[in-house]
Amino acid sequence: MAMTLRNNAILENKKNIMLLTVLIPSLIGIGLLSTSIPNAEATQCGNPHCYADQRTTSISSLSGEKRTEVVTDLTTSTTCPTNTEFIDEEGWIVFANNDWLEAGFTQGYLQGVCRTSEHNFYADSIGGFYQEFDSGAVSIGSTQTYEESDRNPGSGNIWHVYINGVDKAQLTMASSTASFVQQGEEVSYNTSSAPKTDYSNIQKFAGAPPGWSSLGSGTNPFQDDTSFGLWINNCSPSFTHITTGMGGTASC
Amino acid sequence: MTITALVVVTLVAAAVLSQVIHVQVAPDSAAQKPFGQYSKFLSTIKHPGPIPLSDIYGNDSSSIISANQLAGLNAKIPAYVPSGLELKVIKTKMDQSGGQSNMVTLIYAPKQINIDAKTTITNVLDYNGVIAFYMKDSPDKDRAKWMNDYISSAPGAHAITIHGQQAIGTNGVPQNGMKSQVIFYDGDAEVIMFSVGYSESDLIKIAESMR
Repeated sequence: MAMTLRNNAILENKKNIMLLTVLIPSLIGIGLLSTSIPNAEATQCGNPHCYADQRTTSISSLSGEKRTEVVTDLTTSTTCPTNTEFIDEEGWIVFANNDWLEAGFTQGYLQGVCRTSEHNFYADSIGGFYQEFDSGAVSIGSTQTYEESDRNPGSGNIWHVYINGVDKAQLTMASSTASFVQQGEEVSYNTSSAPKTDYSNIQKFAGAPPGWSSLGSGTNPFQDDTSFGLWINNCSPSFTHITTGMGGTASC
Repeated sequence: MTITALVVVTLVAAAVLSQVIHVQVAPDSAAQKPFGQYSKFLSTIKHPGPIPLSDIYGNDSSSIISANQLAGLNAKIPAYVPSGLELKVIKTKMDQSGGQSNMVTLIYAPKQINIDAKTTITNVLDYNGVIAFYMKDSPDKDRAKWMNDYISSAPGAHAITIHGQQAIGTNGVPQNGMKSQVIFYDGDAEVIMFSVGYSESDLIKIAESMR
């Protein structure tokens, strides 16, 4: 009888040890996993804004971008609901250190004010510090030109932002050569809509010579989430003329 | 009953063990920094769309030697990186118009993070990674003048010393998603290193070990 009880106790102990052998590593594993895997941020758009743009890569000596836009009515049913929202029609120059310059027209939150009509703007991020500037109201239907460039390689990496030919800013960047250009629409909230906006005479500056030229190979359209209704159309001439919008039907 | 007691004991033991493991991680470990700070910062400002690493930094290289041979540069692997970070990829980008803008880039990220063809710069910065690239400096650039101009142009930028030479540092605000950056020179190459998760002093320490 005593022997049977002892055997039962040994069996029970063996079971418990086996259980512990399985449980402890599993629980530790779960604990470690929960501290090492990043939590995904729930965002409306992926990045965290929505884009419909064209982007050019892998070109050499990229030192400028310019385009002509016709101002459209970007007014939406909800304007600046949390004082961060906006819709931009613009172009960007991006550098290898992730600094950038951008210019275009916008509606919504700009330089600390909720703009309920369209305004020209430019913005920069240099060394991680972001600044944006209101360049004044613009009329719907008017034609605007924008350029961000360093056309003088000996200038010491001084980049200029021109709006309608006026030199709005002279900014010393880390490089005279950018890595990437984009043109198109940026939306910070997905409850918006935007009519078709026309971009034409889109060109890049690739040193002198060759000077200004069309974008050509290495350019691709990009829509990061079609479920929000953003679209971009490549019209004619290819990559030199595009249209963008949010909602409605894509057309040139 | 015995099994229930054992499960409770196991749970307590696991909790204690995980705490012990947690506190044994070095203070500068990538595992202790919150992810996603850069995206939070971006959500409030105008910014470019997501850019895959290969679109900015080019193709993967099998080693620093092959990257340097291809690009005509002399990029160096740092002897020091904060614990928890590892070198994920070396990239080489070739300038089609003569090599002035050839680049060699080192991308560091926490060990548990995978870097693939879809990974963007934003992803790396969100994961508290560090990006460092070498690029030939323009021969007609007046470095001293440019440094003064850049410091005036970039709020927060200031003069520092790396490898005994004048350099530029910017101390970001990691909790606000603002990057830190150092810019220094290695011969005729400009070297730029930046990160959201690591401070200017961390980046200086890494840069000083790139010899």
